[in-house]
Amino acid sequence: MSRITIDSDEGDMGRGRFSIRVYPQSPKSSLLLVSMRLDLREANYVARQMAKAARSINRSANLSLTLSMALHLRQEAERRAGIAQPKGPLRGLDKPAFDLRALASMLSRGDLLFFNMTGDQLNQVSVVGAIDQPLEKVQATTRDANSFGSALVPGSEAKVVSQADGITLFDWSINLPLVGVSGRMRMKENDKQLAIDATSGALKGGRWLFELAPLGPKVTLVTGWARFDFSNSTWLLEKILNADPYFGVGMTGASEVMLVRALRSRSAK
Amino acid sequence: MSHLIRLVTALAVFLAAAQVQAESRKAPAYDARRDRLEGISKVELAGLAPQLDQGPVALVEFANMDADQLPAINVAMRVGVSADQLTKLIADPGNYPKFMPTVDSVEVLARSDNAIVYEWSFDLAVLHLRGRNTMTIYKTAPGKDSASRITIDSDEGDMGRGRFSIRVYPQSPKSSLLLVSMRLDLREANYVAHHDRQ
Repeated sequence: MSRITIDSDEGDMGRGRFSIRVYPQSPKSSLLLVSMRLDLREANYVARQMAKAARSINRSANLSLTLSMALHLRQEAERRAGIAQPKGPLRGLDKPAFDLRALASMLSRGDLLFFNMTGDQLNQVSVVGAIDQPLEKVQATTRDANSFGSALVPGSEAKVVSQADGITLFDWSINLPLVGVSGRMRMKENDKQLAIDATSGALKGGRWLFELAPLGPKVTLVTGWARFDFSNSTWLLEKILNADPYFGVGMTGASEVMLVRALRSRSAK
Repeated sequence: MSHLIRLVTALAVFLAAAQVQAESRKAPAYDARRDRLEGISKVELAGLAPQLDQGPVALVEFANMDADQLPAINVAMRVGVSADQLTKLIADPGNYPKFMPTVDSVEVLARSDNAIVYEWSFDLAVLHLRGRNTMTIYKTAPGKDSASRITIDSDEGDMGRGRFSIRVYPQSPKSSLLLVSMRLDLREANYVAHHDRQ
């Protein structure tokens, strides 16, 4: 019998030991025995990340669950009534139109999400939120690609690669062990609008647009609209979205809310 | 081997989550089932009509961080069936596994005129979740515009404690407006710790 041990001394997977034994069985066969005890409670990196994001994870899961439940109820009710789900080509991204006076009371209570759907297909998700900071301060936050880029993908870190002719390229990554993802984005500011495109990596093809407008001297209205696909990100998310695609609708909305909340907290600093 | 890595990673994530949840369980500041779900008023829903014509609308509320409160989530959408048809569908949790992929089984434990206690379960990859809910169906107030109202309390289980409040507003003989408000404290969803103890 040969025996190999692998000790995990420290790191993101905690401490522990793998013991591998190989028993000869015949000239052409063997028996492999792998024993392990890994103290994942010591996997502090993950724990720290989870602790940091506990509230937003809770909010995202709540939103995804609620949307999934409501959309499945609608789908089943309409199926029983013999109503066919409309189908159509994916629409282009449009700035959402709304009457601010009609939304004012709700914007004092939270952030609003508008899901533009054709049947089961999500065309785009829009977010509207008010930030209690002057326009200049919020603008400065959006122009900081390191800070804003990391807010774009929850839990990620961003690093500016280049800045020229009003175009900023930045790399982002989620440095979670084994489920980490990364990619590159291009950020461009046109007049009042900020456009971000995922040019490579996970979320490739995704597009985010933002516009800021003053609501008086001390309040800024953020309007964002976007389309991106989470199914090309982490395996865990992929599994969940395969099981229930409606979860993806909620996750997309939750991500937009996270962005506005990140802008709100970073502008206040 | 990749399956092993995935399994180990999933375990790491959920153990970490359990640790976080265990910390939050030390001093639960409040019960998510008792916080009022304000919802979206009829006037506010009327103001959202153009957006509702294009798809669902959600209001993600702010929370009082000092009170360790969780934000309520409100989702509204138009449905192409009558309020009565939709309410009957919602009020029958035993049928949920037939059309909700995240509910594998429902076992009704008790039933009265206006309440149903049921256990649900859901399996996904390495996740095996279960819980017990109480559904309460309220009498609709007289009047053609009155909404029907159903609440679902998550009493215990792997999804933590919390409440769904569901209102169905009649719009026409063939359409209704569904409003789901919820606050679920997933920090209490001590899934791994729960199973660890078994």
